[in-house]
Amino acid sequence: MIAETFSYDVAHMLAGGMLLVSFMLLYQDRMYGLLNTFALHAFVLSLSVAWEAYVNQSPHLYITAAIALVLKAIVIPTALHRIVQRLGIHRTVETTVGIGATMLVGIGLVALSMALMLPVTDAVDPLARQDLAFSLSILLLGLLMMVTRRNAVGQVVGLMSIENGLILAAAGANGMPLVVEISVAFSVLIAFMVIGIFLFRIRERFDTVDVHVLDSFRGERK
Amino acid sequence: MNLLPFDSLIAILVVPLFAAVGLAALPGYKSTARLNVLACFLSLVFAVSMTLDRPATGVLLFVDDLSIVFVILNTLVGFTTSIFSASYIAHELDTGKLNSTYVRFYHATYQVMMFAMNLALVSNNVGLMWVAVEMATLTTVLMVGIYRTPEALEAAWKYFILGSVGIALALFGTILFYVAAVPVVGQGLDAMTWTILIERVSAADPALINIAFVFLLLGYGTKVGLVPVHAWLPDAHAEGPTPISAVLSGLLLNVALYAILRFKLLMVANGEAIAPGPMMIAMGLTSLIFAAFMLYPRRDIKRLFAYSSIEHMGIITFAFGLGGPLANFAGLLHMTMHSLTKSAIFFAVGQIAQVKKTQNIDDIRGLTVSHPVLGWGLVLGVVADGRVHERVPGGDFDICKQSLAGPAAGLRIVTCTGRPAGQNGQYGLWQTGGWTGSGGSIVFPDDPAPGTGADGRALYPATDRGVVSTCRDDAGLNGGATDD
Repeated sequence: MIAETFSYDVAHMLAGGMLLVSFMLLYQDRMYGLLNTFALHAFVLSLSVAWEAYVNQSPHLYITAAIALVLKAIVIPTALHRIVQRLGIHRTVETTVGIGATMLVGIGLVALSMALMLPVTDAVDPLARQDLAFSLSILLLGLLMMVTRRNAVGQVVGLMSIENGLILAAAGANGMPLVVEISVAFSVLIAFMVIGIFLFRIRERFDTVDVHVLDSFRGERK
Repeated sequence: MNLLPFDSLIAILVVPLFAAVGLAALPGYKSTARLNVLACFLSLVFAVSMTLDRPATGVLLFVDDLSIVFVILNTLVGFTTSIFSASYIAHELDTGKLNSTYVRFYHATYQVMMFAMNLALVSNNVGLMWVAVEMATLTTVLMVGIYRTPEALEAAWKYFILGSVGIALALFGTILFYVAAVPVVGQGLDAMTWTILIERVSAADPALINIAFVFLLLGYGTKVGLVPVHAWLPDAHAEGPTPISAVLSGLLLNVALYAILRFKLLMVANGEAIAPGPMMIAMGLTSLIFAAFMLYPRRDIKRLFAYSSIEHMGIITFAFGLGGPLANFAGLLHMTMHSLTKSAIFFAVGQIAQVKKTQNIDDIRGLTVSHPVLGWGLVLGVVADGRVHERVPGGDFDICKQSLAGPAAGLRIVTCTGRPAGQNGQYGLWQTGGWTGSGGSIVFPDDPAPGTGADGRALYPATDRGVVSTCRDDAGLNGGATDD
């Protein structure tokens, strides 16, 4: 019984840690800081998934944890670092809303997702239950981050933090077939390739990665 | 009665995959364009053969009456588009808009996209379906951005970001559905298998699947282009290559709608969950009204038809939201007609844009005089597109749609064809009169009486005529293609 409580507490702490790092992502105003924080986000995700794998004795989750660790915590942040360096955009990340207001909205979103998910998941296994609530919070915070960033790299990091939240939910849902988990990881890889191409193309055309520059090209405003 | 040594269900997936590998490896434009057409034709043959010899239901793949309609429509429009794309891409190569590397990439991506859409339509596993929709999204993002102009990049970026967020929401909904199904079905693949879920979902927790459906409707609804999550659609249609506009409009929107329908069926089977119908009706009607207003000020001809697609998808979602045999039949019929006519229109528009070297409606004038076949082909296409509204029988549903969509369709005629020459101005007005009237029309006089009863047989003549009129349009457009 004690062991069970302990395992639940650790899982709770790790998932809560991810939520905390999501908040940290919201207030990063430096490009490198943003990427490092994202790497931390992915690292906590891989710890969390590995813990689920250990507790539920589902070895296939270790693969998901490894993919999260290698790809999202190491490869993608490093590659984005290089892109940022090459493009010389490491100074600041422009945000459209003030940090204080963003944090307040973020707190509201977390409260909303707890109020939404906890009452309807009474029958669900407690581990899965808290994972679902946390992952919805992370998803909403990721959306908030995408809304408040003007920069293409910032939006991409927001999108990837959403995907991290989804993997947390998928790992928490007991015995969810492997098909989906691998595909999520795989899709991130493809998505990253697409993003890479896009970033370079945007650079090639505009000498900036500020997506607001793109708005002036909207077909209807010519 | 299995005439083939292998399953046609597997064949419609394997053919595009092998073709994609081949097309990526082979150099040269002409042979690859032919291979592309051939692969699409083979997929169509296998898809049609499934009506004769229904493949067995598997854990991952299955076909039923609903999906077979979608699959055949998908492969048919995929085939016609591949024929159009051959001449379109040849022109783009000549004018130097694309180089041979991009054409190779284009063809391979086209087949991967066909594979992904077929997979989404025949998957029995809701997770697999999600993967397929995601794959289709990524391939179309690449295709939309292929011209690398600032406009194309902006469109592709917007589509990519909005599509990814939509797909993320859909995945969250899928996970929630799985979590709801586990206590009833047990862990593992079974809890994601649609044919098992539909039998046992009645015992699942309604509160949880309610939330799941909201996420699924918003997530897949982004891909359908429902207002308010439609923002990517006009840009992606306007800036990509025209064959891709045709495929996006005629097929990809259907695939996403199919995903919503599968979950709607599960919601209804549960019994205690909130009714999904009103939500779909609300989103469908909002899209319809929004698009009707947005159609008027358009200046770009492809953008105009993109908004028309939003309008049609709104009507189709509305029909499926109403539910019941009649409205569902109406939805399917409307969807089929929309896919056929809208892809035909985009074929015409693609040629027009290439001939006139512009997509700006103001600069496209006097088509029926300068390019009679193309001009009248477009007129026929638009007429058929608008006629789709009236084709669909079914009581107040019919009336409601006529009153809302009629003026919009009339507007379209005026904006597209009314301007060119003097006689066409009259034609436009004449058509508008035909539209807003009681359903009687000058082009196809034999109209079914509105409000046909629930008797299924009374509806069939309408289908036949619908198909015939669409075929006529296609023939006109193909004539245009060969004439030019």
